[in-house]
Amino acid sequence: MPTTRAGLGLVLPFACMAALLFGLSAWLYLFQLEHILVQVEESRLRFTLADLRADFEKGLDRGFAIRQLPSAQAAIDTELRQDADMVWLCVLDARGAAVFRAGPNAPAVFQVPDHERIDRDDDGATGTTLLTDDAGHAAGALAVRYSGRGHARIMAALTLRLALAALAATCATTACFAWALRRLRRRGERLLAQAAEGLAQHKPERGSDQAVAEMVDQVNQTAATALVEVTAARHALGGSEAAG
Amino acid sequence: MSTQTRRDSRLYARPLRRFIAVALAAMLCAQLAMSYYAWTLADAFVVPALERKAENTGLAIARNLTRTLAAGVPWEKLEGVEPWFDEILGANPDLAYVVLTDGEGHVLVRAGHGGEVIAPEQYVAATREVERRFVTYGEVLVGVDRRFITSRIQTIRNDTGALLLAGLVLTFELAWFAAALGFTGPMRQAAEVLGRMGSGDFRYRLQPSLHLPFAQAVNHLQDRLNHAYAGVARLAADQRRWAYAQPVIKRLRSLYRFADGGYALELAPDRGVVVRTLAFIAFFAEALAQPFLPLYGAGLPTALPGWLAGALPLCALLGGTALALPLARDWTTQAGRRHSFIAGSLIAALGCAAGAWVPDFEVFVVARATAGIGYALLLIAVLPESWAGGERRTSRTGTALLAAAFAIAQVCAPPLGGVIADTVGPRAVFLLAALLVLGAGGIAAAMLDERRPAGAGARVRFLGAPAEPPAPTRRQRALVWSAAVAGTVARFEFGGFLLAAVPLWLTATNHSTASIGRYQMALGLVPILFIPLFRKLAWRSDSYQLLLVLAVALAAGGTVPFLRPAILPGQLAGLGMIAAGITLGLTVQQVAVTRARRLMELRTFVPPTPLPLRALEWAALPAGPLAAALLLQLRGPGFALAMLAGVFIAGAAAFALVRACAGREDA
Repeated sequence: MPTTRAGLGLVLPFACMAALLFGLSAWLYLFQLEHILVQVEESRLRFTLADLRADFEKGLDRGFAIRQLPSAQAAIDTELRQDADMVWLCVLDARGAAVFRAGPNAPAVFQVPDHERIDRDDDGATGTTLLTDDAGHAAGALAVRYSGRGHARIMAALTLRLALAALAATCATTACFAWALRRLRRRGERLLAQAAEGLAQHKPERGSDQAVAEMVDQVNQTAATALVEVTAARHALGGSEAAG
Repeated sequence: MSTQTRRDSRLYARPLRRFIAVALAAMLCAQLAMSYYAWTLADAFVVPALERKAENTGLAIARNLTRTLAAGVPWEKLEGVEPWFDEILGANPDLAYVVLTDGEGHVLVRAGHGGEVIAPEQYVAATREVERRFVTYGEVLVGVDRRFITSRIQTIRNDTGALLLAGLVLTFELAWFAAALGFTGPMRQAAEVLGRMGSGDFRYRLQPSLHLPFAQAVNHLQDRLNHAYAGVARLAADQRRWAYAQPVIKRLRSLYRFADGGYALELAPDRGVVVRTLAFIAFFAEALAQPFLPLYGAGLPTALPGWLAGALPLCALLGGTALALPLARDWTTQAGRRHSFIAGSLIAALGCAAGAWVPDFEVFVVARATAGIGYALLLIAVLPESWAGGERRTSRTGTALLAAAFAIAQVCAPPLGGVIADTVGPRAVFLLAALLVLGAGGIAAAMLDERRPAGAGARVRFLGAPAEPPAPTRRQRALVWSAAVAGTVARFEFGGFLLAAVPLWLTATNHSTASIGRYQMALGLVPILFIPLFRKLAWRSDSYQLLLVLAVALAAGGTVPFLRPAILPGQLAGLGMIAAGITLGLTVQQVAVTRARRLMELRTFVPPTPLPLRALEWAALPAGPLAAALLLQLRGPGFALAMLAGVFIAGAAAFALVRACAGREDA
């Protein structure tokens, strides 16, 4: 009955199903972890933006124009130095021209948004917020660029680990399944071998399964009786021929 | 017979149960381990990002405090720090607490909760010194809660729970399949042949592929007996002994059954499990797309209004199936079920794969109709009447097997499809369905045989003089009509309620695709939960009237939140009640019809269903989504659900009326 190939054919569908299921689970977790990570990163970006904006708006409230803000350059330089993930910062005037810049790639012109927003792309995230004076007019904007390297590194590590976990789970469950199936088939083989042995020896083998022993016993009894009856019939028919 | 079955099942029942338990336990453990691992990953990778935010916050607070000191406010007279901290915590829910201490570590201000005494390991804190001109005045501690991240992970627990459940059901199905092919099937066959031999039936040989020594032993024994008997039969055939040989032969024949001519029949292995698995794969593949099909169709560019565009692809699928079934039946009788299944799987796979890359709505509708035709061919090849003639199973157990495959597919496929559609995209679902159907075709090519359906010749009736069947009595007509009513309403509600109205209503109430899949899974579980009830009730007495009334009451009660303004949880409860009522009622009707049909088959005969009624039954399948879409378009999703429940109630009333008419004549 059992061959290795047939066994493989029985295990393979389970392996495919397990791979699909664990792959989907891993994907789901990855999806969710990235979602949380992005949320955390954006909340950090938002906090930095809000902090700097409060600083600058305090200056605007005191009546300075955006070009005259005291120690603005020093503030953004310090911020850039303290946060390793920050690529550049710039303070823009109302038309979008950079007034103060920090960081090597800081743009000279940047579009001023109409509300606070965070744009993500493959290389990182850019957060922009409006600077308003005490009259409520937009005096300028603040733009901060964060590098996406940290995010990409974390995501790569997470992807690798979750993929490995899915693979391990698939292999483990498939191995478990294959082992249990092999045991099951071994058991079937053993029962059939016992039955075969019992039929060949005309008595149930010692130590064999109770159900098998009963069945084989009954078959042997029936077969023996049938054989006796058939032989008797044959003798009866043959004997009558001799008499005739 | 029953004691023999019990003794047979002793051979395989316990090892089989143990095997399935091991498979389920392995799957459960692996899923739980994976969830735990994802948690630890969140702790290792996402918490540091949150920690950096805490650092930034600490830095900003320290800088502001330093600036205040620089403005001339003495450290001891700092004011308004606590409201400020509270404001920061209010704006940043991911921070747990902010603490300001003096130079010696005494707490000056504490805002938020956490990190005090209990379980400080759940918190991560970033520390910043407040210093000015090389004097350290104090420290700012900003703490974040690890549980904030893990609680965010828990928001997908519904999805992972649905995956876990679907995984367990799938594991059970596959374990059952593997065990049936690798263990239970051979053991059953061995038990059957041993049982037959034990009771004196020596006609069947075994194929050596079962188990060589066993088959040899059995065949050897049977050969000996059959040859011995053949010798006796030869002697008895002699004219001279005819008279007194007859009683001997008669006696032997009354006690035993030998193979005629000394050659035994081959006992073919039972392939019922293969057929069931093939049907399961087909049902599963189709149910994968169920949660998002209406939404996907409505999202394609079309001039049709939204709801109608959502339901039309469903209509095309079900209509394709319903129209192709009669043709497919004829074709299958000629081509054989293996060819039919392979052709069906190819067509259905083409339709599914095309669904992933359709440019516009019309092509999508055509692709769905193609898939429907493919499914019709598949279905015909696995329907009981196509194979019951060959295998040693009655058509009744065959239908039960198919129904079980359908029910299980309805439970585990929609949540999986919904999750895949949400995370990977609907295209992946269509591709997966196409691959699955192709795989089923491969299995069919390897394992099905070229047997023509039983009764292929009997269908050619017009050659002989057709015997005029006796005119059906009123009771027989009532049975046919009640069966037609039950079947029509069941098909209408399956297409209209489960496949169209429920997803569209859930979409209208802002549920995601994954949660639509979960609701469909829950609705699929309802009939399975009713099975024990029926085991206990329906077969003992005529309790079906009571159950039908209960079902109608449930459905009617469920419509209340949809007809009056109600909150969403109430409407969800109403949806559950309607679904439970409809499922219960339709199952009751089906059980009652089956029971009456069986009783009538014992007494007289059951007249065939007239063609218009059969056409009506099949037309109800595509009509369901169409009616649901029209109702949605006219009066909104809630009203449509209520109206579909109304259709069920009307159907139940008609059913009861037909049964009552038949009953009066009998009395």
